[in-house]
Amino acid sequence: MPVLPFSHILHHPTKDQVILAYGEHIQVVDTKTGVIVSSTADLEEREAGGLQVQPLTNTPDVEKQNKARVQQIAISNDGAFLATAADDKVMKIWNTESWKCLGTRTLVRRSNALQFTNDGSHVVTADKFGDIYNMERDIPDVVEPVKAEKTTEKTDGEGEGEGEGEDEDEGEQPILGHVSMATDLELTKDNKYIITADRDEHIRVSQFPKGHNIETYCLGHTGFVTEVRVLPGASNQYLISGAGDATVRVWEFLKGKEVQTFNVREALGLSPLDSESEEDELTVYSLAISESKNHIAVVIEKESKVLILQWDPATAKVEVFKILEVQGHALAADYDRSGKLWVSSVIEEGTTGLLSVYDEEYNLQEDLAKYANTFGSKTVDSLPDLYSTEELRKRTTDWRDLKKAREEKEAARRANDPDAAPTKKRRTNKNSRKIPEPAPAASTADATMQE
Amino acid sequence: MENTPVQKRPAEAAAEESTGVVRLPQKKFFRQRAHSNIFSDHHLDYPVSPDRMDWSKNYPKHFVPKDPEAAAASSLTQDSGKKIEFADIGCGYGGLLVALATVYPETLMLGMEIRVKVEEYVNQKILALRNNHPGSYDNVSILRMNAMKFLPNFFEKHQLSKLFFLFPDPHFKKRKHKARIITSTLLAEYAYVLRPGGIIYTISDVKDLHLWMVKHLDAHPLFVRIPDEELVDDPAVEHVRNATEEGQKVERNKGDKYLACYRRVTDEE
Repeated sequence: MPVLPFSHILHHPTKDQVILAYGEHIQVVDTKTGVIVSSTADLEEREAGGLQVQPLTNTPDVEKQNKARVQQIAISNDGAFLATAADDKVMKIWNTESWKCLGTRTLVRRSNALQFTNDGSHVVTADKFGDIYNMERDIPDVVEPVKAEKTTEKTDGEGEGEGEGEDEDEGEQPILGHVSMATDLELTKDNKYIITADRDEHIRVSQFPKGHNIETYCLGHTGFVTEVRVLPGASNQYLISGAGDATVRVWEFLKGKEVQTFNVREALGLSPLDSESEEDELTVYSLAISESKNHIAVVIEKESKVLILQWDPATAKVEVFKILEVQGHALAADYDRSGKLWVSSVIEEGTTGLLSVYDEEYNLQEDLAKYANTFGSKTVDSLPDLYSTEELRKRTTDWRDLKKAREEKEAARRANDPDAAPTKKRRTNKNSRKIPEPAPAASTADATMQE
Repeated sequence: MENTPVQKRPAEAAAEESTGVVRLPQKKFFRQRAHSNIFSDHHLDYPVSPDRMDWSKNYPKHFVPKDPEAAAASSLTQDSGKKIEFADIGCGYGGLLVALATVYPETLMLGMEIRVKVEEYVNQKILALRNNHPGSYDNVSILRMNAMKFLPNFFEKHQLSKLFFLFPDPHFKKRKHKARIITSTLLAEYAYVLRPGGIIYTISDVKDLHLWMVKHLDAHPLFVRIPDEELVDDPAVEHVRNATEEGQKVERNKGDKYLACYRRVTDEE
């Protein structure tokens, strides 16, 4: 049976640790020894091949666990706090010493990105509905929605009271919003600006926290944007973005100016698309940056290759440094404090390659991965689809094609069954100029007979 | 197909031919349900960024086509240098644009409308007006677009001087309020495309919606209400009240019209 992959990898900014998320849990690995030091779940007993399980520094509080999958993680600059957001919309703040949960809070909508402000006092989140909230970190340990009001698009029930003047303006207000799913956010190093990305190819640069002042847009992507990160360098003026259009782009973000388009398909040496009209769905899934080496690890959706780019702040260009081949499909990656790259993969069978660790020269360090591969994560019956990109793809059809298809279908239906009544759904309204087609005599007769 | 030009009777076509006057399209052939889900993925054509927009189809007297072949065939050798300055969001049947086109003959203006058939109607109307009044109406056009999502794809920062939101969809239900055209978060985007000093015009016959728009605009740091007495001198206001088809409908039904106009200010250091 497969083992759940590590969905997120995040390095601790001040300690030699990486934090791994899998399913609803988090685990902490010592990056010097590879040993799992903390976990929110008891470690599974597995075929260890002579390896000894090391005791955890914390005691997993099994009672308090919830069942929701961790979807976002972020750590404060001083490393004292970790924030997680799960698919039940609950955000948790963790103490990174005791790995105890300090507080929980139900967000209005599912979070697609989390980041602490520089001073660690606030957590900024970007949600599924495109709203960006700047929330205080010290949240009460209660599960209560940010806003009292229910906002669901799905339930189509009536009967909600109207016009009392107290509606969605109650509760916490977003500092900015997109009319589209927000996919990522990034605060600039000085926290003066916030960069937000959405499903409609936009990257927006706004002032922070006065998000109503939009500085500019970085427009150029032709697919949903998946990740935006400020690039290292003295000027801090460059941004790198990844998207569902098979490109990585470099921007001078305050000017909204694209300075480089980097074609990932070409760089990976993958075969070009069959037809030119076909849109390239190769998706840059996530980016990890090594500030010390100016390296960027590019994780590509459902690919075994991880692209390592070299960033040159002087020429403002990225170029291929190396291509790593991992087992299975790479899912998450991050560089630790000393510059080692940690990559997690989706592995169909077994546990080898669940986590791969590369040293500064990109040599595989099996010793560092073996504990996590042997004792980490948990066994499941089947693997869920962990790439969250399907909802980002647009499957629109020109309405003319839809109409044509509908008419053809209707014609075929009528041809097979000449007595069939016209589809009720397409009832013409009385103001339409379309002359209603006379109902076939047979069906009229049927109707009368039934009465 | 319902939105193709209506077949003209032979006599009508002959009359058009001899006089050169094109009959304006008739609204009754272009009706469409008044609401549209602005959150769904419509099939829309929009440029990646404003500089890549080819406006020559909309304003053939002002823009040279971007495609070199089409450019060679164009009567223009260079762009007029003008940029769109007025945008009517959810312009409906285009009454305001048609009225303003001759009031501000030097200003390019654009309507955005998400309903296919309505867009087609306005388009035909503009083409007919251009034909019947040579030299006029070259400054007005319409696009089928979801303005709530793609405004920054068309307009640069501070490009516009006037934005119109006339008789917008009230979205009465509370859970639909996010779909309203004036929200706190969308106002930031309107402020982005609007230059400081530019004006947002809102009008509605639905008092609740009017109050809602006023509440959000009042609360927004980048908009300040223009007192009614200052509006008297604004030549656009009369048309905001009376030129739209919706406005005329309200007039016929003896309904109330609530106007609120705001100036774009700045709070940046």
